[in-house]
Amino acid sequence: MAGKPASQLPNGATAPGTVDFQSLYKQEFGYAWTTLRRLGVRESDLADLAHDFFIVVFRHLGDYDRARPVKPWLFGIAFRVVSDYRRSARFARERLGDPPEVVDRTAPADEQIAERQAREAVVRALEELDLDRRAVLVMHDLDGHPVPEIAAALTIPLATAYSRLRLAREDLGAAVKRMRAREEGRRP
Amino acid sequence: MSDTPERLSPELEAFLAPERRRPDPPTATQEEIFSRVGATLGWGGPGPGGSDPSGGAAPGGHAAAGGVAVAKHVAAGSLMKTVATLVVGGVIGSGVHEVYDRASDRRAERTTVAAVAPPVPTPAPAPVAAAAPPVEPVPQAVVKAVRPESPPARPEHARERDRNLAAERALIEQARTALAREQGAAALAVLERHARDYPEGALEEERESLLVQALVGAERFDQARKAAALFHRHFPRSIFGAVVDEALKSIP
Repeated sequence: MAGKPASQLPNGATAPGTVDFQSLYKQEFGYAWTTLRRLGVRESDLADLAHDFFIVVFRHLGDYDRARPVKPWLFGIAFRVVSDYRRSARFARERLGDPPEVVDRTAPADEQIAERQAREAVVRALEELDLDRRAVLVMHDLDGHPVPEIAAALTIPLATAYSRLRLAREDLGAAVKRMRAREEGRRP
Repeated sequence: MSDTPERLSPELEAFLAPERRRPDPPTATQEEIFSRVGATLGWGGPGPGGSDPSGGAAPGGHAAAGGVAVAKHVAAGSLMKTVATLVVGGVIGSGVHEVYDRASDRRAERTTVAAVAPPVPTPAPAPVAAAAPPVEPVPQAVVKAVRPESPPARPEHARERDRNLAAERALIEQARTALAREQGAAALAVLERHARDYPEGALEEERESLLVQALVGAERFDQARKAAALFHRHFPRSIFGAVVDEALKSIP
């Protein structure tokens, strides 16, 4: 069944059984931010969605089972927040001029550009996937969660999780091929 | 069916590798959103990277977080009273009102608002369903004792100030929720009510930043620009300045 949990809640200075929101926020903010982006939240909407996400986390903290790893639980919340977001008029409205993502100033500029372009390509390719499949692929192939953990986090049958992963990989492979074909077509 | 899926193809493995190295967002972003979350939930304090993460930085947050856990899982009356005390104490306590203190700094002397708004229901700000996966109850969950000693008696004007602030906060949260739901007109109506009832309220800064967003959402772009200019003039170092600018950037 599940392998080693991807992470556990910080124990910090909390009493046994207590979930410390502030520590959780500090430790998992980066994961939440990245997950929201990978699930399709635009850069310009990330701050608002991160706010909404942590409000939901705070209000459901009492439901969290400390015996389980925290990241899949957070992912389940992120998935639902993003599902609502993608159905909203806000998402449908075209927005241009996304602000640039954070820059690693320790790496040479050309490496940074190449790395950033590669990340943007991944997000663009993921955007072509259905959200249900995309969530499974992100959890498994980017975050490294075992499939049973994913099935529990997304409250789907195990067989469905395996099936979605397989289909998501097929979709992603096709999306990558299409992207590369378009790039080839643009070359002189 | 196998317990482990097939290995990712080398091509996709290489394609996804840069995304696995995605850098974390800047600390400033983390702290700004923490402040917003705190404002929505009704507690202030320094950002998540504060020097005393387990202490009084955000006692309302700790107490309320524990309160949520206990309220869901414990039915014992005495413990519920303890939880209620901690929650109320946390909210009323000293860590709540960084925002208020900021506002107080701006105004050396302020008159107490006499009208106290009636209790306002506080809807969830995000239109999302309960999101937690099914989990076993956590009966051992306990509330972290943020303030083990009894707080000193508070004078009447301090209690009234807290009541006003709670009412203000409820209105701000309503406006924020309406904005999140793309209900610009509703957000503007709530913000106007806040402006009428608390023209120089402790959450004036938040109100004015939300006003810009609501005006943009309602496509009243000229008014949004004017409101943004006023905001920057009145609150030149506001943490909400970036949000206001972002709202203006979204004007087509």
